[in-house]
Amino acid sequence: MALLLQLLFNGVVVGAVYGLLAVGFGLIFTTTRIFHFAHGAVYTLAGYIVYSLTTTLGWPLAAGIALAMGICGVVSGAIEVAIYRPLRARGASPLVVLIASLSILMLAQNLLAIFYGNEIRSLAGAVVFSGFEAGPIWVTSIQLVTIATCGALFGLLKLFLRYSRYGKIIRALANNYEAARIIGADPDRTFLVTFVIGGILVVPAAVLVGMLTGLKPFGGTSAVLVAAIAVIVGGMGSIMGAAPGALIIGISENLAVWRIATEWQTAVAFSVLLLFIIFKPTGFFGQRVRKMEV
Amino acid sequence: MRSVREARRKWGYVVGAGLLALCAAGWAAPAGAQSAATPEEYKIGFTTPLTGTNAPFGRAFAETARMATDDVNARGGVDGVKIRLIVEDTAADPKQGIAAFQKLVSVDRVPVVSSAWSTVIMATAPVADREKVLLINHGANAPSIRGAGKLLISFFPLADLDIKHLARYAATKLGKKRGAVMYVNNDTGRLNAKVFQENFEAAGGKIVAVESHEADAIEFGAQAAKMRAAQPDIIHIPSLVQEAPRIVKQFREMGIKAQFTSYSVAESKEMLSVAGEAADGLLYTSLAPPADQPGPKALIDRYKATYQKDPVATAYLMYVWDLHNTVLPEAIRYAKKQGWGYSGEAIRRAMLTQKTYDTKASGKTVFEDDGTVNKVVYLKRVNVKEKKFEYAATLD
Repeated sequence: MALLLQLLFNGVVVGAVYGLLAVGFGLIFTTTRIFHFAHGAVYTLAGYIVYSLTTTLGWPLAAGIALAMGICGVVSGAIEVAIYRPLRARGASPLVVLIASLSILMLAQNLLAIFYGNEIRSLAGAVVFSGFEAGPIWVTSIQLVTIATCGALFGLLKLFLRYSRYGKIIRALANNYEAARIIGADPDRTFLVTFVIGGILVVPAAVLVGMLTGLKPFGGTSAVLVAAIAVIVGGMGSIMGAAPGALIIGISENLAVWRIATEWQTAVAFSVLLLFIIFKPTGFFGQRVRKMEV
Repeated sequence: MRSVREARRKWGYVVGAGLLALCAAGWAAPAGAQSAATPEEYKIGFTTPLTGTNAPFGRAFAETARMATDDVNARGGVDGVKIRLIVEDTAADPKQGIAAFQKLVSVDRVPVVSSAWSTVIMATAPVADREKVLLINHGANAPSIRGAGKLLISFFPLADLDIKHLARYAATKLGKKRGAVMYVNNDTGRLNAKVFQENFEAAGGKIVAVESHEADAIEFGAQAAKMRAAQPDIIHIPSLVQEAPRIVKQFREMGIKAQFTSYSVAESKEMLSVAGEAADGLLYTSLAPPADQPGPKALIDRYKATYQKDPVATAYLMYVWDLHNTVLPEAIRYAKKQGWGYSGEAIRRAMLTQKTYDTKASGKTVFEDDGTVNKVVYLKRVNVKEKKFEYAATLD
């Protein structure tokens, strides 16, 4: 029973980090209908920017995170302006946009591998995080920081979407693109804001992963895949649905190893995806999709 | 006009046939048979990961082999004939390893290839037999390498030698009763884990948990949770250079207080810089003498002076150095003296006939008849406070 509870708690921590990445991915997808695989590139870049600033240049972590958020917001916005917007203007099909996004991901990851090498980099250095027993489970300080950070950011995003002007426009465009345009929503400007927010949101995710485990130049591919699965599980069409979707994946991956060997852990996320596609294609919070064009 | 075209076509056939014949003649001559007489230079192939996660270690291996070869050549080569080292990239991937090997054999026509990484060695060994090229393992330790090829020499000791000693030492001398294993899911890891389990239980211990991870994994939370629940008093970690320190760190962060053990991979900069205090007291087997002894120290100092940086995975570098600086030149010289020429078969025969080599960095080498080596096994300890890997015991 203690093991089950420990795995459940570990799953919540992993799911929370997945959630940060997935919510950004979901926000962009729901608003723009772009399967933004290059989100993984921005995520990987974020980790290495913070690594360079804090480990190489010796900046304080907070300053490193702040500058990385600025850079990643700009980079993410630049991808929209320089790649997706011209493609949209030329009437490119979603498949072309998807391939362009994948190309950015591969290019960025390879450039990072050339620049930083393939070694795993840690943002925590040789720091071993302390822990304590909370009843039957073991809790570490970094796990608590992870849960608190993710919870706070989800809350802030929710507030932004509900109360801010751009939040309302984003929700309007996500809900009904044509109707939102008729009442004056500017898609190009709103999409840009969406990409910038998505870019900013990857930074805490990358930092937490860099501290909990480590950074790899090709880590963005698996991360963005999990984010995509989380969006489908949470429900396409629901901006915040990706968060519970990510939590389900994190918990499933961890609980599954209670009875099966840990080497099958990766397969669990894809099994969850398959089950959702077959039995609940709309995900938990998604709208019924009549036709999905790819 | 027509006759000109026909004449051209005829000449085309002749030239084409000639080129084909030349190519066929080139391909038909086996690499191992090309040099019965003394060649202008002794070509030695060296395959190692220059790209991918393992590149930092592969590059250090290549640099050490290059340094060893330059040293031999500076001494006049082998009876005046220089050695030429040709390095190719495997990315530690079996498929790319075979491609690199075939390039060395077909294009560079080397009769001897020095390589490492168990999966690469296992994949390349049958190809080496077919091409009649001697494949020498300088860094892989999967026990299945024994007998994987007829033209295979394992200059690096296989895991069943040191891990057998370690498991028995853990159960008898350290008094550990509840053992666990966390291994990398490849040939080396699986076999290393199997040898530890069998010998730990044979020595009176009980294995309470066995977990694995994929190569390149960085998150070990689920395994840590399962290990914690199993409450072992010793955990053996036959993993990889990049992954082992992260396992050690994440296990300690999960509140696991068991003694950690591993093998040569533990002696890396990452173990100190990534695992930090979590690695303090970790015991690991080493098939190379402590770094402060004269042989290893001379190599480390030389590496630092040559490349202006600290070496990584020094235990492996000692083997690479000894192979390329002592064993291969002496075997080539011996084969020549015996009139066997320079071929894969001749060099293997020379090594097994000479049997014993005074290898300064890794300690005395004794070849067994099956092409493996017998070496002294050292037990070392990670001392984080003093940032060093220190001698703990000699296992026999």
